[in-house]
Amino acid sequence: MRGLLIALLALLQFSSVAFASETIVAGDSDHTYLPVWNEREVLLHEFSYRPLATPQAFATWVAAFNANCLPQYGEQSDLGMEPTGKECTSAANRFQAPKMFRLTRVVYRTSSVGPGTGSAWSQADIRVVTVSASGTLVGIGAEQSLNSGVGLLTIFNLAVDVPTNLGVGIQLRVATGATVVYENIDTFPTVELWGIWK
Amino acid sequence: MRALFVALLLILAAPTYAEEFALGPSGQERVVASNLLEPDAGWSIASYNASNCLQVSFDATTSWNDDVACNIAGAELWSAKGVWLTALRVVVTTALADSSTGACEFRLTTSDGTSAISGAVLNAGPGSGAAMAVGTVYEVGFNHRLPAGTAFEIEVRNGDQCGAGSSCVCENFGNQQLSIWGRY
Repeated sequence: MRGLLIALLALLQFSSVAFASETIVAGDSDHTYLPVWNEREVLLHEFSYRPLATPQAFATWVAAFNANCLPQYGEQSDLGMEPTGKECTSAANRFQAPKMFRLTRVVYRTSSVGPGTGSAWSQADIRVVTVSASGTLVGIGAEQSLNSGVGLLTIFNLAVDVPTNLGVGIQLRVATGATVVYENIDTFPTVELWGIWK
Repeated sequence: MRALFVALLLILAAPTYAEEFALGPSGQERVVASNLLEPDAGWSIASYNASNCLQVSFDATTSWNDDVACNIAGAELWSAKGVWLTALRVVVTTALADSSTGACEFRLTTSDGTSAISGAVLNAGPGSGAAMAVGTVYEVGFNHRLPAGTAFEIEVRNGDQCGAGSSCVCENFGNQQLSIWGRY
């Protein structure tokens, strides 16, 4: 009887992942990157926004990453986002949580083809940053070329702990060889932040 | 020896890995709803009022920046799954000076604002003579079972913990993150 009890407890002990009801199916994007404690990974935040409308007049994004971040909470105009007020230090342009979390994944998805897609003058690079109250920006992971097109994903696989006094922002810049970031209004991008609460 | 092994297995059982011993902390607690607050003049009232809830949906903006009557759809948050609501939290994303009059008090209600959820009251503000730094967290823990498909609301009024010490005004609270947490 005692042996049975030990066996039962051992079974419960060593099968804890099964309790998490986590099944990895072939074809899941998870297959390429499974963070530690992936069974506790949740969607932390999702936002969409209307990109710039007429790029020639805007300097929101330039050749080097500057102090601007994608708008995460602001009012969304049908005409596209306004070029000003995109500072990463603004509460509307970063994600911040009341508990520390491990940021495991940032995914940028465009939903349709914008007028600038494929144009040599419109290519952008994208990166993820932490934002401090004083405006210090620290890149998380390497910057990437922004994939633009129907359903195309740009994925950052990460494992960075973010305390409550830091926010997470997303930045763009003009890619090498391009002249301006025409961020493709009508591409309707959506951004997801995934992570694990600490 | 065998008893010791059994005790060890019990101590290291799955809930330990989940860092979860009770409702609420860590482990299985999830964000039920959250958003950026952009306080509105309508939030600056002295007493809770069922005609004054945060507008959390059907708005032109993505943040929570308006107030509506608690009995309309725009005031309602709900879950398709039954959930134990466990905490109300504010993380400061916009700093306030020690002379600020900004402070808000939030509470959760059900039944169109007519029934307050016990313990779900968060008085957020720096306190008299104090500043409010980015990253500061205000929180209150409670346990309330919300049956599947039922709604709750967020009421707001002036807090009493502002830097100026008196005459606190909610609309001066600044743009902060509010979240409601729970365990499904």
